[in-house]
Amino acid sequence: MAFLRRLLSFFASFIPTKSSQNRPREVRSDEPIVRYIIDSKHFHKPKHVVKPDAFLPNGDPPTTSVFRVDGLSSDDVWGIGHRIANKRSRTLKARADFDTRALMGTPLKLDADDDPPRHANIIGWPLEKSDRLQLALEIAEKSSLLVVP
Amino acid sequence: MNSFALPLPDFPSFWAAGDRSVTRSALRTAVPVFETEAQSSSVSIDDVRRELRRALAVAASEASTADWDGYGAKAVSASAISHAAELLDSLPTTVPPPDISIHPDGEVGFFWTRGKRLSVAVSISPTGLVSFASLHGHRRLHGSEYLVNGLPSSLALVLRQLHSDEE
Repeated sequence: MAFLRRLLSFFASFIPTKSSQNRPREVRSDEPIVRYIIDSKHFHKPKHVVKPDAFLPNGDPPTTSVFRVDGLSSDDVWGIGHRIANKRSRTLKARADFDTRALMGTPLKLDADDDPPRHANIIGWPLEKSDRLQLALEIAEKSSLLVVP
Repeated sequence: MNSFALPLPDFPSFWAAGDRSVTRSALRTAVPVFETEAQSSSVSIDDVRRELRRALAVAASEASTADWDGYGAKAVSASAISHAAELLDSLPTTVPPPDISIHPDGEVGFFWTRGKRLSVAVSISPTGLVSFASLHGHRRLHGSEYLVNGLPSSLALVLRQLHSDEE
């Protein structure tokens, strides 16, 4: 029986899942995007706002890690966040929901690498910190804060 | 500066090696909250300022090693903390206390918000460069200035704008 289960699981791994099925690399101009928040300093609970800190990029080249959540249920969206936080041995605190229109008119773009599935990076961050702060502030303002239920 | 007596968080014994390395004593120098009023009666620090310095010390302790955010962030440096403490001291008493955090690039962040599209974000670098960005309705202003003689004038302007109709 265990063998059959393993065999079934092996073949199931070749079936495209809901998370990766038919998702184009090109990101639509109104696609829903989520930034998962694992630091409570990245949002202001009493005023219910996302702070720009949540969007400031890491690394060189600087990127901000986000997920494309089009077509997913609310539970699925939270599920991705919990998995991401667990991977880092952290606890998911909240999420910032926005759509790609928040990046319009800015030098920022979404690079959908799909690694892990549905993952994308916000790229194109300018060099100057004040420019980055302004962009992060703008995206944060256009985001909706959802605290972990 | 002497040893501290305030109930402060337990700091990691040493920060990252190299020129970023910071010991507890260096942190005491950078964030003078570690010096109590009893130890330095000549310096009067009001409760708000003391609480802000404590918040700065807590934020610094949480970001004292590389990758503190799980996304590969840089550790905060003693000089960034020191400049941030200086900026805190230069804030007018009419400005409400900011939220204090550490940014992924290791700079210290201050944030004020009065709700939607009424926010100011500030970043203080290890060299004392103060970068800021603000949203005031549809007005945006951002820039940077070195912390030389107190609060940079451009930052003073956006903070005054943010809190002007509160007064």
